[in-house]
Amino acid sequence: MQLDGTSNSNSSGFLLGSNYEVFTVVVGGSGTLTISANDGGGGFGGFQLTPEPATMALLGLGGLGVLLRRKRK
Amino acid sequence: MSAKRMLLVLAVAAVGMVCWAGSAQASVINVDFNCIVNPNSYTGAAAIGGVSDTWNYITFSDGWDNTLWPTNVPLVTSTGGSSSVTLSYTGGGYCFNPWGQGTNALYGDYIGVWGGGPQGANVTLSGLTPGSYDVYAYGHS
Repeated sequence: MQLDGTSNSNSSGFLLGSNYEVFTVVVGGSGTLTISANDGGGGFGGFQLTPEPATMALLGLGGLGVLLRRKRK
Repeated sequence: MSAKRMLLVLAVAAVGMVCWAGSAQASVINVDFNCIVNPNSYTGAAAIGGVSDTWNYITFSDGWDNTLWPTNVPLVTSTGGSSSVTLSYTGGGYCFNPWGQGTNALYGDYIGVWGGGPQGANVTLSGLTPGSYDVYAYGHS
């Protein structure tokens, strides 16, 4: 899919592959993520960013570990 | 492990799961790009999220005018809470609003590049926790 701005279709609702795409990315130790439009005629109007379940599970387990450790002390 | 200790562990685990679910919702970040002329500001749910979600509206000057390009703008989560994440823009793109208010506000005005124009419209997020993320990018096909 190219988000090339040539069509004004699908003005209501969201359809994967028509007016949005989903990309899975990995953020490293720098904690930065760059999203680029570079195809010579495209663009995007916004985005939503959400952690993958695996990342959330790690964060959740980490929090649980901290809670248990505090309880033991 | 005694029954009392087992109950304690289960209780802590339950609290942890509730916190996890809550933090998953709080960790969603919504961003809508607006051109400063006739800005189209989106509200509500998109592909993910809920009707009462909070959105970050990032405003650009129109066309290739780079006088209003965001730098280190702090972002809030979909529940309106603060986050460690900031947004900056670099490159030679433009902000375009070809249909005014007459289209979906989320991608009606957008940032991008044009074949003969300066290239590289880069949105950089900083302050993220390392890990895997899903990016839902909205635009006209």
